[in-house]
Amino acid sequence: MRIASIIFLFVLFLTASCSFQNKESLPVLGRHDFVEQNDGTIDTIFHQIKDFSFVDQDSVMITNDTFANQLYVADFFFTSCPSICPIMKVQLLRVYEKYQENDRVAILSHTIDPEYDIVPVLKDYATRLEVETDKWHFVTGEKETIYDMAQTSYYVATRENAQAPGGYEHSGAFILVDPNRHIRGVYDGTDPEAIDKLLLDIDTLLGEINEK
Amino acid sequence: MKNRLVIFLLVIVGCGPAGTENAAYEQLSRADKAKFNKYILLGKEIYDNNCASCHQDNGMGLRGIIPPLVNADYMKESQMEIPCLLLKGARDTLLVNGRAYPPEMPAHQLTNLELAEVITYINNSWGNQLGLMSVKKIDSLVAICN
Repeated sequence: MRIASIIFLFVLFLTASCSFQNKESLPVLGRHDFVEQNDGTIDTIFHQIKDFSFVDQDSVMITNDTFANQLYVADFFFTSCPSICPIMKVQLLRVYEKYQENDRVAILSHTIDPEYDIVPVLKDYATRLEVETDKWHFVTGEKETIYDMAQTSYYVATRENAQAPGGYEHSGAFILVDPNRHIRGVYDGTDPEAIDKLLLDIDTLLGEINEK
Repeated sequence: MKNRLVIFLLVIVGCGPAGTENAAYEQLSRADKAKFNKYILLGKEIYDNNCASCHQDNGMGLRGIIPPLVNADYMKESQMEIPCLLLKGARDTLLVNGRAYPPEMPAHQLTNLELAEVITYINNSWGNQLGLMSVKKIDSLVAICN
């Protein structure tokens, strides 16, 4: 009897903590700065995606302002990638399909091989993937700028490596960014279960945006 | 050693993954059925390591970018071309179910036995029923690859 009550209380506790978690908003990720104000209080300056300007598959300039009213999922890939990219794209298609009718959600795929992945190549790729440009931007730009954005804004490792399949190495991470340029989640784009979590987190974030 | 035992047991009880519902399997001799089951088991490992990242675990490919291996007319109609395609990579645009795919398939280093195993696996997975690809057939086809 006693054991049964303990189990009951434990289950109650678990249920309570779970429902509490559901209501909780997603954390803001990244290396934050702390600034001391004149009155002695300390302000947190949250990590933000810095200013960028790239060109998408329709030759349209894509900047932070493009996503002023949207959350977006960012990733890094290249069209001739024979290793993890196809799996990543299969998983990103799940995001695309779930939010196809929701203007608040977008996808931003950066090529890390801009010499080969010029605009017509990206256009051909997007066409063959059967996705709409206003929902899913495939962008290119200066190589140094893309690599710098990957490393310092999104914390994604990318580098050239002649030994790697296709000549480049990159992380398969998807980064969830809110309309304030804050990173709200990082997910392994090659793991379907991680993408289940991403889809739930997008719903949570949409709820948060709608409340404001 | 343990793997071999598992394969042996599977062959003995005749319950390979493609099993009983495959018409192509039912037409095989008893010796070929044993070979078929062994190829499927070993072919899956080769598939997972060499093919799945592009063609996916379920053989569905990726829309217009990577062709499907499931219900693909190319798989049915071009069985004789597949060993060389795997070994040498694609050289021309591939037409699969009416859709053109650029020649992006890379070359793979596989032995003739491994080719027989992986092709038999693809031939009989996800609903495909295209039968056994024997090493003997692979030998003759690979000998005339361009």
